[in-house]
Amino acid sequence: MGEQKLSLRRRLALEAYRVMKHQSVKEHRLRQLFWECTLRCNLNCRHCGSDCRSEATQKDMPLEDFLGVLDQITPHVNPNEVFVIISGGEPLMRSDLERCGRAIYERGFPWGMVTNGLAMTEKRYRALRAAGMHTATVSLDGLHEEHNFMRGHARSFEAATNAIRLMGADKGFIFDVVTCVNRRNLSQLDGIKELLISLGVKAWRLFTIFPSGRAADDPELQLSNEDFCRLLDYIRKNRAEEKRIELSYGCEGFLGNYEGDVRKHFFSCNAGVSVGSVLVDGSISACTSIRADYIQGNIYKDNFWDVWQNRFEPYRNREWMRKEECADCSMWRYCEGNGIHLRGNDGRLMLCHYDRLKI
Amino acid sequence: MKNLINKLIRLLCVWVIGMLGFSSCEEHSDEYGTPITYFRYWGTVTDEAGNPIEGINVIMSGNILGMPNVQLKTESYDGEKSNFSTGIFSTADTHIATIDFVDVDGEENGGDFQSVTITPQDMVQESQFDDMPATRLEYKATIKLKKK
Repeated sequence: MGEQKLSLRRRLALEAYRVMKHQSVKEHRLRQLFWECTLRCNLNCRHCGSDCRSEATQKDMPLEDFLGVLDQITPHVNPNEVFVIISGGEPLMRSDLERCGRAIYERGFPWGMVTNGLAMTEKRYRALRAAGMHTATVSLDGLHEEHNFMRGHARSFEAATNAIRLMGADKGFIFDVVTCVNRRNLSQLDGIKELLISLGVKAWRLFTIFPSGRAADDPELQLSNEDFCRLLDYIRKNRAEEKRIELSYGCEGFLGNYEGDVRKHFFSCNAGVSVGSVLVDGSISACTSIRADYIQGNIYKDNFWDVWQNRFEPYRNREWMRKEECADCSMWRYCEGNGIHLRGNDGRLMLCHYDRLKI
Repeated sequence: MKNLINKLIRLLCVWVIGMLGFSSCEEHSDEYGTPITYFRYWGTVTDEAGNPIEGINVIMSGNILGMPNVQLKTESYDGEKSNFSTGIFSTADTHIATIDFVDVDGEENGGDFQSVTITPQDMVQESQFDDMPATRLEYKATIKLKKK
């Protein structure tokens, strides 16, 4: 693609979006709350980024502790408008997940979950729906061999596709599938797409690896810059032409002249702006991909709402990121330092998506 | 006032973005998580001749996000039809068991009408708005009540 100047049309739209973004930061209305309910997982994925420094011995957070957070939030929000996303590890590892979901729901909060599908059965699925599960996201990283390679489990593909099939057959249930695109599955995207359509999937999110956790030292997971552009071209083409399923790139990265063409919105990192999280050890953070160093408090000593209202400065004022390669970047006003999960311990940017487009 | 100004600015920005040929960039942008769904149940309540009836209680029963029942009343919005609407809210669709239409004011407002009970499955999915990941599903019922 090469580095290209932004078109005037795109630049004007980005300027308008920038105004909206700054308004959102000022308001910082909590819209999504992640609950990292467990770090136990039944898989050993090659690209796991769920704070891979954590020990597997970290106990699950008791439901009552998370409900305490919801009770702190409730006087200040309309619970109906704060979406709780149960994540992990793998949430299905919790045998009390249905009880958790029901308790969250009865406090007025809609909820969904992210799952690898390995432990999903029809009985479990029905129980989760009865517990108020609104939506779900299932991970599928390729066709049979490639998915199992990524997930490190011989039954993983079969289980994930069964979970997707269950959801696809449930009329009216909204869900999507996420795929980590890497060197092994890039050539299979059409095949994966057809499979997903046959299983009733309407929305497919594709993302690429960022160099963190187990993925940091695995070259097979990283796309070249040319392949990254090929992926974005694929998504753009499908968004324009494919009517059976909607493709989008994941939430991260300012994408230059792909902005507006590969997602339904322009890039903004909403961590700490509308997205908060409670991690398994009680840490208060934003999205669960963010490294431990950007934690803002802990529910075992702080009131979540006080922290949400009065801290999160590094997320809401990004001037501290305007250094090194970001210092003189002409795209700073639209990017503002990329996703905060791409910042290392020392604040350095681990990955610039816009840079990747300069092939 | 400040909220109103902010809302107007936001609407103007959304309009500009739309006019430039890009899709709506409402605040529910793609997050790293799961899709979000909202529902609206709405419709009209008339007598058998098609005349609008005001004052009918619309009761949605089930475990709707912490509220045992959602109660509405039909009102005449445009002077011609008796509409009811839940507004946009979020619930798991499996949790709405029944929707009851009950005349609570007797002979007032056109007569004393028999109650009717429907389930969400009896309603028609009228529209679906995809502001991914927030999907809004709207279900409509057209209810005709008989006099007692």
